Amino acid sequence: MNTDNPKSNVMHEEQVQTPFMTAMKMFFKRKMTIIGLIGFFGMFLASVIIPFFFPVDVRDFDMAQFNQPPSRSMMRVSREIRGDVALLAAGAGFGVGVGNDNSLHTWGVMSHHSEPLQNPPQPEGRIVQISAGQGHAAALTEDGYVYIWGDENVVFRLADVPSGIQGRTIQVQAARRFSLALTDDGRLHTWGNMPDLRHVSPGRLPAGRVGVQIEVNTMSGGVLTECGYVFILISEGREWRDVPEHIQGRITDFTLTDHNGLAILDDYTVYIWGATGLINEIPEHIQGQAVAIDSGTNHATVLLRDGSVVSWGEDRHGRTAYPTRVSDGVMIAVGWDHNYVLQADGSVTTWGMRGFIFGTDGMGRCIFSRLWLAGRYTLMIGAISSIVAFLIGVLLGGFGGYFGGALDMFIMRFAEVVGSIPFLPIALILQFRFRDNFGQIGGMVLLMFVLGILSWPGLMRIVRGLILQARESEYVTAAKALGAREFSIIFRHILPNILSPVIVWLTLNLAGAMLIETGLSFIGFGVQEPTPTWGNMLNAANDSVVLRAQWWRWVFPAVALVSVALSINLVGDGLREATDPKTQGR
Amino acid sequence: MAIFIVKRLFYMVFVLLIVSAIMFALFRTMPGDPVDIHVPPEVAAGLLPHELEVLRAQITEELGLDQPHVVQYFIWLGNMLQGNFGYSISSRQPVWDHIRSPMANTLFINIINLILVFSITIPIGVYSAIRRGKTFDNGALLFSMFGLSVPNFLFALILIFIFAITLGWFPIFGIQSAMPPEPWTLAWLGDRMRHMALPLATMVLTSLAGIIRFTRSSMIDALNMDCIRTARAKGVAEKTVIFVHAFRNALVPIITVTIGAFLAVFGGSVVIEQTFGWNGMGRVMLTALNQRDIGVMMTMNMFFILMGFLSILIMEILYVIVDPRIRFR
Repeated sequence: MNTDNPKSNVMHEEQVQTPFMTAMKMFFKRKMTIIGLIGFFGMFLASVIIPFFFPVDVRDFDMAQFNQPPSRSMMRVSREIRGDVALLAAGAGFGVGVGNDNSLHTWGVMSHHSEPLQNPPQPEGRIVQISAGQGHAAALTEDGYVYIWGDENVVFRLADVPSGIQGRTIQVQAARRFSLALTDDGRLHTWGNMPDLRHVSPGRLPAGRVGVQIEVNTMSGGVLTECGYVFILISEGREWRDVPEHIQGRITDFTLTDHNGLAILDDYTVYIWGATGLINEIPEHIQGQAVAIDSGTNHATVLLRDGSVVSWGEDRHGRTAYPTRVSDGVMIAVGWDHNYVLQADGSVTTWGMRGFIFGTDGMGRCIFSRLWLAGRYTLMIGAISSIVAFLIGVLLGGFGGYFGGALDMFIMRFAEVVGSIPFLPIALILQFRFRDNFGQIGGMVLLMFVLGILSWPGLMRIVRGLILQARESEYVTAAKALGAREFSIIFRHILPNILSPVIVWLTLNLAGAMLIETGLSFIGFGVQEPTPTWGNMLNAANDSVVLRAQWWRWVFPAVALVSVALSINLVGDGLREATDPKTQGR
Repeated sequence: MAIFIVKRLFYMVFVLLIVSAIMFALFRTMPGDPVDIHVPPEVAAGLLPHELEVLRAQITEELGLDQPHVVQYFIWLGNMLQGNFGYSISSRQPVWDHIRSPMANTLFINIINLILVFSITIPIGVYSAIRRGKTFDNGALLFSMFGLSVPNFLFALILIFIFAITLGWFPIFGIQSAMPPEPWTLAWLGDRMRHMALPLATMVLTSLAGIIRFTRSSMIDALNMDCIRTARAKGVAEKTVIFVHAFRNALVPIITVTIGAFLAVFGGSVVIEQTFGWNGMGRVMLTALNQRDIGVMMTMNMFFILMGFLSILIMEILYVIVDPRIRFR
């Protein structure tokens, strides 16, 4: 069949190309096929290589950064006040600055509604303190008035500032979904989302204590008093709740990470209490030098007496990669993941997280890095399930086609049974039945086998038909005459001759298997979170809020999925056209 | 022919027995004690331990769970054959009542879908086979290539994004409004149609690509046949050549897809129904899985498999009708 070219006759020039070369030429002649090939290998290589450079711990999540839109501008100080900054504050993904002309500026990503960022209030009085939390920020003027702006939403209403604090506030702090303020009568006021406030107990500080500074982490906060005592506002037992007695009264500055408390004592040493971790490894050379300290979720930054800065702790998003050339720092501000140091000349140096190029999902996970890891898994599931189907199909088709008779009959009937079973319901049931027996990885392996076991009948028919034709060929007779075993006749002599339709089938099945995996994961029966696949990343979009407001959560996986599937289909189509003898030369 | 059909039917019964035994085993080994599901927690909470034991033993006996597995299987099979499909645990009514209205919903939307799909795809496929290599053909191929690469739920998401969220023309979820108009009035019909628009559009879009390609390639094969050359040589009008001679030969593979599509009519699309909250068979199936509603699951699967076999049988018979060269084996 392959050698039967209807157009050739004695008058034509003799064909000097092997069929393989002809197929190659045909294959590379088509523009779309080349596009598909490049697209597929591009995405494939990206999925293989990028996760090495952006490693992902799939169990990791960061609630401080959830639903961040794509941005690289979280540390880009507003142009109007560059080199002219008086005050700085850093929040979750955005920064706030006051220029020397008393104008307020915000930059970065405050929320997925960008309007509040562009219009911070412009208070009349001189701003003495600013603070940035998550989704909102606060400013305090010298006459004790609090201004608050940010993302207006149902759980945290900005207008709920207690009326009693206006004109009397001495310190204000914006936290995760609530705010705190200290008034001149020594009272601490809180407002915001009630469930988040359960970890904060407000009220009057112990008699005679005058609060001067509030610090918060993502859960609660603490107050430093005039005479060097720190009171932690959380009522439940947390490692960082109990400030060691021997440092009380000696504290000049303090800060809270999510698991630790850090304080600068009156001898300029840094003291840490709470959980153990990377952050406990305080660099030795800063002891006796530290003048100001601030922290993010799990790292700390200090300003030293000589005006330089040092960061340490958990190194994510480059947040501890502090600049060594800074020597005239006067003020530091540290947000969840980024750091600012204000220098004496009014310029600002930053380090830490610039933003997420593809945004983050509902659990604050970087979509960019997960996307490529998901590509790995999706491609791997498609490939392995195709290989499983390939092995079963070729084996059964080979035996059935070659031996014929009862074996062939049985295999054909068996294929009919498997083929007549509706695919998705059975895949669902098998997934549902066995996924609890295996773990994360086991579930994925199961999915590959389920897909493979249900999709071989098509290939089996192709192979069987081709072998039926080929077994009467002369080369098979020759192999038989030479005494080759039947197994080797089928798989070593015949199979290479009928490989091209098999390869076409494999290619198209790869795309099909990927799409089925994606569909299964989309309805929650495929690969389970937190292991990412394009399907379960898209699952997030099954929600009209995400679909409307958080486009980055579904557009990127969708584009990746469609481009890979389209590329594979284009390649498969090109292969089919190139190897199909009926289309050659037309 | 009668002998062939009888033979096939016997074979079908045999295979159904095997498949049903496998399914039965699969469900019996599912995690979770079926007795627990029959004892509502509120009842269990109000009973003393020994009373609960008695109740459980009673239910075990009622369900026949104290019998050997083989006996259980035959009891279940007997029930199925008598049309006693069991009891849905989640809705506390017989399985048949539980799946009746979803089945009607699924049939309704799928039949409309099939009519639309075939009336769109067959003309496009035939035309692009005739105009092979021309702009129309390339466009159709590119479109169908794209359609094959976009999963149905993504079509659904895009349609929702454009027509439900941005334009607000159609509702996203459900088969009718929360307060539906009086049944069988014009307003009611309009309400149903509005709810059906997006799932239907998704289904049509998803089905187009494959069938266009299929029709096209089988039509190309048919046009390359010797009889077509003969017909042209004899001076038969081109229209007759295409629509009478070639199309009839192209019909055989097209029938395969059509039957396959009819099989899916009963199955419904799990993903699309889930996404649009369309209360059809696919959604019932998913809900039953999640609630471990084994009666519903078993019935539906046996039904799906039965439909699969029936469609193969019908396909084989139809083959002979459209193509007299094919003989029954």
